[in-house]
Amino acid sequence: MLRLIGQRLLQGAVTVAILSFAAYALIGLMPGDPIDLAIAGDPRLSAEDAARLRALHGLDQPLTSRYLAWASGALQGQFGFSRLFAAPAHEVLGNALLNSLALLLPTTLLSAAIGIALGVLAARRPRGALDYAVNAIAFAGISLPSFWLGILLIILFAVTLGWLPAGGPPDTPGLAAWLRHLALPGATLTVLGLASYARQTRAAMIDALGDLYIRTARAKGAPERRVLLHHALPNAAIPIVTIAGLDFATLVSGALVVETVFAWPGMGKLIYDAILGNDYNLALLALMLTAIVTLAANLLADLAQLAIDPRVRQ
Amino acid sequence: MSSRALARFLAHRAGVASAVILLALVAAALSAPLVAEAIGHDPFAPDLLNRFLPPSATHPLGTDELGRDVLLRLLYGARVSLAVGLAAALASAAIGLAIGLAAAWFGGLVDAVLMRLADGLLALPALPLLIVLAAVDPAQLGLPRDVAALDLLRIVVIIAIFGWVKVARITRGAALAILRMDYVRAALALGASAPRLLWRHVAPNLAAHVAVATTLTVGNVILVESVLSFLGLGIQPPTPSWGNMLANAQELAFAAPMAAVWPGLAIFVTVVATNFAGDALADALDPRAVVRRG
Amino acid sequence: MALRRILIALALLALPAAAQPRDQLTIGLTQYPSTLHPSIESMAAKSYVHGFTLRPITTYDADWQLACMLCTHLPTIENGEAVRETAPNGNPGIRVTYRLREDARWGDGTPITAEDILFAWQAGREPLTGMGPAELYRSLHRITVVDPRTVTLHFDKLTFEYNAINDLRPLPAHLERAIWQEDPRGYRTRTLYDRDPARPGLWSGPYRVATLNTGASVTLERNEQWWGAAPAFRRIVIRTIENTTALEAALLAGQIDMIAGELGLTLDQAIALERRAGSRFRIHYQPGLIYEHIDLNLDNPVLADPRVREALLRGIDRQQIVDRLFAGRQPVAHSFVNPLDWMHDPTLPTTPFDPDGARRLLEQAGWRPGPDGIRRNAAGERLSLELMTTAGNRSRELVQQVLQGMWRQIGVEIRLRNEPPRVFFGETVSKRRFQAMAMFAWISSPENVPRTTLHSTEIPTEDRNWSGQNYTGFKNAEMDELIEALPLTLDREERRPMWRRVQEIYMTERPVLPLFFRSDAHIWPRWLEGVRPTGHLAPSSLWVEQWKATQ
Repeated sequence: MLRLIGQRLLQGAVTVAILSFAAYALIGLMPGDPIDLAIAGDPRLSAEDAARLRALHGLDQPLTSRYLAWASGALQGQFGFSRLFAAPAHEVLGNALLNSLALLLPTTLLSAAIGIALGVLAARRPRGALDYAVNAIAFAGISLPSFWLGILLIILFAVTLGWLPAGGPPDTPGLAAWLRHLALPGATLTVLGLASYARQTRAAMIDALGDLYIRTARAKGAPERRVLLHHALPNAAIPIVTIAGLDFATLVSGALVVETVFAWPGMGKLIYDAILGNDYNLALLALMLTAIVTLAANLLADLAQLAIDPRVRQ
Repeated sequence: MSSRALARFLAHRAGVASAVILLALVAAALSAPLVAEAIGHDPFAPDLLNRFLPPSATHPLGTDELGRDVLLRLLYGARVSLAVGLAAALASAAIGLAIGLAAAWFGGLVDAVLMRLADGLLALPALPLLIVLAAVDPAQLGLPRDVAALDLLRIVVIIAIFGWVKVARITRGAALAILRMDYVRAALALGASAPRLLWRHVAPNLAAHVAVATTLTVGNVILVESVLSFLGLGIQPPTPSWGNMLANAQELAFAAPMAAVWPGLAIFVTVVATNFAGDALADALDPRAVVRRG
Repeated sequence: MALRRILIALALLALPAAAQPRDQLTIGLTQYPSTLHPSIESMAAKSYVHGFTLRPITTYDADWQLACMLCTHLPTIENGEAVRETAPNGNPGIRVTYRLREDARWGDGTPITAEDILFAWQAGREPLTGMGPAELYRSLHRITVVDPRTVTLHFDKLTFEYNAINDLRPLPAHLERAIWQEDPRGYRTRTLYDRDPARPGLWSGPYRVATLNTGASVTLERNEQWWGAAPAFRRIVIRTIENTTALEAALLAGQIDMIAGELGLTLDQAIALERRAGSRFRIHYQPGLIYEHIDLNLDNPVLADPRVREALLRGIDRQQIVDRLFAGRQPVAHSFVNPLDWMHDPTLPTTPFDPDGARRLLEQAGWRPGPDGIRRNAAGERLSLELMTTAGNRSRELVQQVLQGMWRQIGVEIRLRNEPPRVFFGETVSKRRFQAMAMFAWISSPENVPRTTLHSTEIPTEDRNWSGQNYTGFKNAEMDELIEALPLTLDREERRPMWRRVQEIYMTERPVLPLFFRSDAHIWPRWLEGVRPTGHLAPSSLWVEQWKATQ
């Protein structure tokens, strides 16, 4: 077990290293750089100015040497300065990460809880009325484009009813203000996320319920509740946990659309802006962080599988 | 599909209904030029005097922000959206299946490399790749400057590059479980060849998982395309897609809310239908389904 | 009884603003200011925030006239405070003497003096500091301090804008000089404007920055040291909401009071908003110096023919586009000179919408209708042109599709190909890689001499490292001469006939198809008075002390 973890950690480190170069190169390969864009937006900027700024920002250096400079700095804990936000990259990132976690932790828990509950209910009697209802809810969630759902919620709850703020973090501190401001983006993410949990749980539960040992348990006269929650669910948990781990990691960087619609300054928006603005230091730091979180989440998911399902351990 | 599987599929009423709806959608998409002929409008010609018309006999669903017939644009959009969805889902499934099986079969270093690649891809940003691809000048590649097709290809490529990961993980997990089963071990011991073993024993068992994942992907891709349109990186005008129709409508969400209802509804119905159909398919292809019911 | 109490409590919760006097103004913007340093990088959101918090020495006002903000009066040749001289490099130069207001001071009470101008200039001249446009620092070759409130600036070039130093922003030397001296290269990462923006001494406007919430909002409070009329609001919150639909929602939900037109809703969103909620808000459309146009690549053999260019312009009904898509709220452009600019000449003949004339011209140029309705030349080539613009800009995409339809009517096929802005501006346009037409906008200042866009030496080429913005490849000897002579002609009336000729050449040669001048939609609450948008780069926030709440 420990060996496996060690192995995976080592692999993870190699992956992160390769990834960092891939990301750096990808950003560098994008045609046009922020200085070209600045010229288009500011008629006073001359060609000489552009050349001078390019040299100053090191943009005239070849990509590999810029990457190596960045990497050696990063290894020493020097993540550099965000060009876009004019602050040390780790400070900018820290703020965005806090905002993201404030939004994502509660919503992931909520959507997992509701989704799993719905999935279990649906799996009890496949193709029963309840199953169709759960499927309908899940499919509705899957079928709504995130920006559209967000805007609908804003129109309904912020504009028409005026109950909740339309977006943005609160100006005033305090739990109540935070909850009010989290309500709409949180609801959007929950609806979107719940579907996949419900579907996966349902499929895994139906699978598990078909297994012999469940029939044995039923034959022995175990109550249905017990069969569901103590026999089937732990077995069904493997794919669910896998999906959960993956989903959370992608959410950290992937909540871009919801963050945009609700003007929530989180990681998704930050990475998007950093990439588009060729803010290498910020983009790389953010991407490395999400990469590490993704790898860690995957590792944990795999370990959870091991813990739950001894068969995989062989 | 064997006749038994077909029978099982047909027993799934929602699945059948969904399949019928999907077929109808495809038929409608294919018949778009005929409908245009019949109604007598050009869905690509703007008419500034007739913007935002309500539904009427001449324009069954009204007109859009440039006075074009919404119904026709939906039908032409269906061609693009369905093509993108299907192509990208199939490409992701094919890549994912191949990589997942390879990882499960070879194990060891191959497995480690492929799975870390999968992990890594999830963390890699799709955005710069999209922009790099957007800058590719078709003329320099010797391709015709047929822009709509290129947009489509770009989106399919991007989604396939990033989309195979889920299928690969599911495939690998399921394949590993199957490879450990007694009957497979027995087959191995009896000297079954690798491709034959994978094809005969592993693939059928995987079909259910992959079918579910793929159908979910079709819907997802249609949604991803709409998000790309929202970010300005989707299918470019004048080609309509459900995604760019919806993304355009969001800017006028308060002024002309109906403009978003039709593409939204089309996406909704399609995604729901692909999911139910996928469900039915999963049931039909699941070899254990008989055991369960018997 | 309990129920009633709850109801009252709810009512109070729902209407927090009604009970209090209006001492806070919340403004929505679509951009977040990246750095707050006055001279590093220019972006609209930053200049909007600086309008409240910093005073430039000079600026163009809402009437497009040059005005003093930190100086007591404008130095001119007539009043003897600007004197021509020969620069050390032998060019005709000028020295201009500015006197700073006695009462001007930073937010910590330190007077604004010559020292602050000197420091700004020294830091700006140093290439390592990494300031954006450096033209000003280059041409300003010497500063003499006459007394702490008086400086003489020596320029090595002479233009009619000799006394406009809008971009020379004083920096608080008492706070920033030591940081800069220690490490000029690291200055941009260590400046107090970004490390400690709440320091009052950094600010010189009616407001100062109080708190920043990165990516979300900037909160301003009254500057106690402000020397002018006291501004109306105790606090101003500038909130960034990039998605314009969400911005509109925040306005309708009452989270923001107004939307700054400088960075606000798209025009058609504002027009739609006015139709539905016109009674709640005042909407002001400010036509400005943003010139939407289509650059034609004159190296394209089809477009090299002036008859084809004229036919293309005659083939499009720009007035209809403006009327139908933008409710007539933005003026059709006939040249790059805005009708609000004094040198605009309304007597010059414009090119009307005239599809028949367009067809005749194309016939003359040898393009005859083909079987599919698209014209062909003698060699059988189809008249098919590529029109590119920035992907994701809905307004432009709409206009583009309408133009495509209009040109189809005269037998010209238009293929649309759009790219993300950074690709479009960074590669395609700036390296002249567009095949035929590129649609985008220029932002300029009042009476801007179009040197970089129309002078023949400004055509970007590989040899010149792609510098210059003459993307059409326009070459005209008379235009070159006029562009060179204009800045040196100090007398406005002498410039008038020159400007007329510039416009005439532009309108008859047609290297560019003018579309319209963009209008900004400013959206204010009914109770807000006194905001005067300018229509050029100077933001309305520079005159915030005139903003009043009427309730």
